[in-house]
Amino acid sequence: MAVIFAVVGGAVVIGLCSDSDHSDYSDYSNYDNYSNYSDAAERRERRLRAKQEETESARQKVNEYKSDSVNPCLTLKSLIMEPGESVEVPSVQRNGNEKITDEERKKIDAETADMKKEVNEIDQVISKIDKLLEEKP
Amino acid sequence: MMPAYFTKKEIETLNHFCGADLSSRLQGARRNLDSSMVRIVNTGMVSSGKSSLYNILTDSVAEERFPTGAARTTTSADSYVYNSIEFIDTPGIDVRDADDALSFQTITQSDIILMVHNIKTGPLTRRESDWLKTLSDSMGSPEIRQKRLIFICTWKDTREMEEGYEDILNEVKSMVYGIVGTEIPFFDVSVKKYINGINKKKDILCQKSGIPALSAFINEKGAEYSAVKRVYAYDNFQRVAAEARSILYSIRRDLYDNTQRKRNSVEQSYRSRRNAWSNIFNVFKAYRESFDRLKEELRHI
Repeated sequence: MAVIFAVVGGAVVIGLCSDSDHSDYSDYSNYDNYSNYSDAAERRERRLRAKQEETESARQKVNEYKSDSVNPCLTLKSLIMEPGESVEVPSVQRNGNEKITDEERKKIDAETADMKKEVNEIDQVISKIDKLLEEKP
Repeated sequence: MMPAYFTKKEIETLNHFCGADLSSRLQGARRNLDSSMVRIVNTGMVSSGKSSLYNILTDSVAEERFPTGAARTTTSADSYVYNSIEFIDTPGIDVRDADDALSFQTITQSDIILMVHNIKTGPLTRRESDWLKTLSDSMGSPEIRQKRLIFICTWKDTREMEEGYEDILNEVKSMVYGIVGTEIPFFDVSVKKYINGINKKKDILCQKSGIPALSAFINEKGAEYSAVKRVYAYDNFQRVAAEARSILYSIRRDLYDNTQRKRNSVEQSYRSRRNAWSNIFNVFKAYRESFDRLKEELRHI
């Protein structure tokens, strides 16, 4: 009797296990589910490709803009050589500002040099006159 | 060799900004402080009788210490010390610019100026009037002009017999007064008559020549001026120095203002450049942020 129960119980267990495995295989073998999985992968692939294209376009845009419009405003060769996608942005800003400040200073110096020279010459003569006035004979 | 109080460069600056006349006056006024001797300088047109007059005033007719002649004989400022006064003879004006410059420079270093006019030519010419005005203006107050300027008409013998001689003299006097702005010592003399008087031993001729009166006046004036020379010379130097300083400061102010204006104009033009750069940079920064964001998104897909 005990042997019968054991055999039947074992068969039930096996049967249960067999039933569960079958169910899983059944899912995978379901045509619709497989199609869903494939769409998602494809969508992901498409999304990836689209993002890659978008990123590539943004990369080209930033590099071209850096090369065409930003580089003429810079002086440091290392910053000019570095592409827009990787150059250090604060350094670009700093160098652009410095270039303008330097050029402005040079322009002011050049345009006021003659006048400054004349002011110095005048100061020298005024000092000499003052000195001679102090030397009362 | 006269000491140079200003360097070549400083003199160039003075000439450029204050004009050659003021520059010359300033240098002369300073040099004049070095000498305690009274310096009397003559000035006037060519052949007005300046050198002849000086030969008499310095008792040097025989040796003709100051060369004379009808043409331009005095080409440099010759000087001779007589009775503790330094007499300086200058070239005639209005012939060469270099002579005029030398005369003016010599005058600026002197104490008393004898402006000599040939009365044979009538009233003062335009050039003489301008010259006298330049000299007078360089002296400051009317009191100083009275002390430093003496006007002498020479060649009196050529016109004194004319009926209108006194009128001519008065006209010249009036012109001088108008130019100088005050009455200054005025003499009319004849060198020729004085020499005749000496040669003929006729004192009356000498007296009538006007030379003895002029000579006595100059000697007296020289002695009088000698006592105050230092004060006057220093006052003169101070006055000329103040004039030069005032001009230099005024030009300096203008130059400074122009420099500021120029600076502002450049700064203004660079403000637009800064704005342009700021726009370029902001666009670049936006592109770069967009690219960085996309890169990040790509990493997470």
